[in-house]
Amino acid sequence: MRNSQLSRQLSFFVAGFIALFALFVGLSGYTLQQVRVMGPIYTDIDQGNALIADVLPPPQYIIESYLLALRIKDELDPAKRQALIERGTALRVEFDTRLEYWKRTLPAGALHDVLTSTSAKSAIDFFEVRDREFLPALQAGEAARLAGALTRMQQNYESHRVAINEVVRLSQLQNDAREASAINVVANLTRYLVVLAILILISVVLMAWVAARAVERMTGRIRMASEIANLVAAGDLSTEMPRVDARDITGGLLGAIATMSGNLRALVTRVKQASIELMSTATEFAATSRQQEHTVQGFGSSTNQIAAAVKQINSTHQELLTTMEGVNVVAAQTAELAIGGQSGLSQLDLSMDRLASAGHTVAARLAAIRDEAAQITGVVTTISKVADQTNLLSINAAIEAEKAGEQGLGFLVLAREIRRLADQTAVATLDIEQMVKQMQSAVSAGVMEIDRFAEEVKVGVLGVGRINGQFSQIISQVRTLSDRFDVVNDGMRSQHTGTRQIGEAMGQLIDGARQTSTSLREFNAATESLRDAVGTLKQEITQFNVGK
Amino acid sequence: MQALAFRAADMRFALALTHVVQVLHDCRPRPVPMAPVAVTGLIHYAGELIPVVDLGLLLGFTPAAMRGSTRLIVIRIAHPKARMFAVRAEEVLDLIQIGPKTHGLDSAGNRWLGEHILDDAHTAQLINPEALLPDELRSLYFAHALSKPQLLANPTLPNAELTNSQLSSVESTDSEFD
Repeated sequence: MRNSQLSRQLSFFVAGFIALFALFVGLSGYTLQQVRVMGPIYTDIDQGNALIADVLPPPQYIIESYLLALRIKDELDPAKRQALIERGTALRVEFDTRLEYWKRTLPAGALHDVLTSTSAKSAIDFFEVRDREFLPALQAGEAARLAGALTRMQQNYESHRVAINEVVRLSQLQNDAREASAINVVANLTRYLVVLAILILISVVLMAWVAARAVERMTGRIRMASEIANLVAAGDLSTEMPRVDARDITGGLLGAIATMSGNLRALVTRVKQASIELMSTATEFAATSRQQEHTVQGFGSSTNQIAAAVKQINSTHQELLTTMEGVNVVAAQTAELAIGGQSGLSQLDLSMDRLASAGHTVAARLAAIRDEAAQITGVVTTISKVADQTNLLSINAAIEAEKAGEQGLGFLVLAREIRRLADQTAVATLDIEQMVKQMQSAVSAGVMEIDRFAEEVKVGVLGVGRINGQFSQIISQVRTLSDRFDVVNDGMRSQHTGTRQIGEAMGQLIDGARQTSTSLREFNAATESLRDAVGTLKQEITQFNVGK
Repeated sequence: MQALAFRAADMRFALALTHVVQVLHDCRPRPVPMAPVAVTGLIHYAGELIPVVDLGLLLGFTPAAMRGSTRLIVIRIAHPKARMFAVRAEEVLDLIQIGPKTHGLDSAGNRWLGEHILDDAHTAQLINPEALLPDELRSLYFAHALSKPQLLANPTLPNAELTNSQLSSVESTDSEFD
């Protein structure tokens, strides 16, 4: 659209230019037409000059005629006179022709009037007088009439001269006016031409400016498009396209480049993401296959271990078989021993029973001792109370004896003795108390011990019974043991063959694991090469900058 | 001259026998409200209510523990209005002969603490019972005695009438206060 607008502008300016130029050419032609040789101005001026030049002949005709008339009057030779008269007649005809010409040619005006009326009237009068008066008078030889006619001719000649002078003056004036008008016309035309030239110049400059502007705009957009295209070529797709008014060709070009860049960017982004996903997938592949390899290796080693274990189990079985036989023998011996133990236990049981009854007796005796000790404690308390009372009594008795003086001396000694006895009693009771306490605690401990002993005996009796039962079980079980040993032996033999088969299967498994490991290593290599390829692709892609 | 040696607040003290009336078993005295600190209460003895002074408390230590050996020593002081009171001691030790005395340290502030006497390897401090009662108790106690002239009119010592029945009455007083 803008393009058409530009062309419309340009064609508008071109049309203006053409119109102005045509006008210029026309005006120039008109000017040339006006001022050319034989043109109207030239004709006017020339006419004026011709008039001035032409006006003079009529007076010449008149002057010559006047001079001719004077010669005729003086000429005596009739032949010569006749020739002069004919000459005069020819001059009049010539004058009339010129006058007719000027009457026709000259435009109506003062000059025309002066020329045709005033000047021509005098001339015509002159010729009338010559032809009607002068020549007949001459022929007749009437001298008076001739003189009168000559005088009248002279008068007409004079008035004609004056009129001619007037005509010349008027003609001069007209010529001057025509020259001035011609100069004016030329100057006007020249001015128009200059204005036209300026207008043409302006239109040309405008045209050039509009064209230059359009070209500059287009160039700028094309440069921008070229820069963006360069960036895209270098792999930078992050450049945002400037919003352009895509109404002209360059705008369209920019839009197309923007769309192209956007599409390319989307494509590269997708490829990038795809390559990243591919990379991670390849990495996972590699990791998984490595793990699988490890697993397979572990499997192989486990299988090896299992094979070794199976071998060991095999040998252990052998040992077990021999051990079993030994155990069988030992079991038989155990049965015999158990029978011996059972009889020993029966005797032990009896002894235990006796022990328990003895413990009961001891406990009863100890309880009796404890009761008696409690009674002793009561007696001792009483004794100590009495001793304390005695002590107090003896103190008071001593005080009284002291107060009694001489009489009380013996009593004082007695009281002191009593107090000493009381103190000894107190000390003895303290000792007894102590001993009884010790005895009581000893008895208590003994009772407890006896009780515990009785309990233990009870438990022992129970235990002996239980052991007796267990011995019976052992004996019966040992008896059934040899049968079971046979069963076990059979089972072990079949197990032995089973383990051998397992060992063979293990060997096959190891081979399979080795093969799997090899193929996994090949798979690993393939995954590595895939990863390398994806890495290369990623590197290629990273050359494109998509921003964000 | 004989004295009664006893123990209070883990120290040995001695009392001239002339002042001692009788030695009794310990009993729980009846407490007297608002009484001085060292006075633990009153007991009934020979028809009289007499105050009990704890020597441990009087000395500023702990009171005598209630043991089997704890005793009450009934004292009579030589006063115009002669009155009895009891001293509580942890243990009555023995009758000792008052030999050579020495002052040791003069405890001028406490008039009731007298000279020291040497008894075998031990040292006992004599107690002056006249000054033993705390001043406030002393004034109260003797003022009360003045208002009872019948007691003054019978200044005979009760020691003469001391019998077993009286002893048992003292004991019954114990049980009464228990």
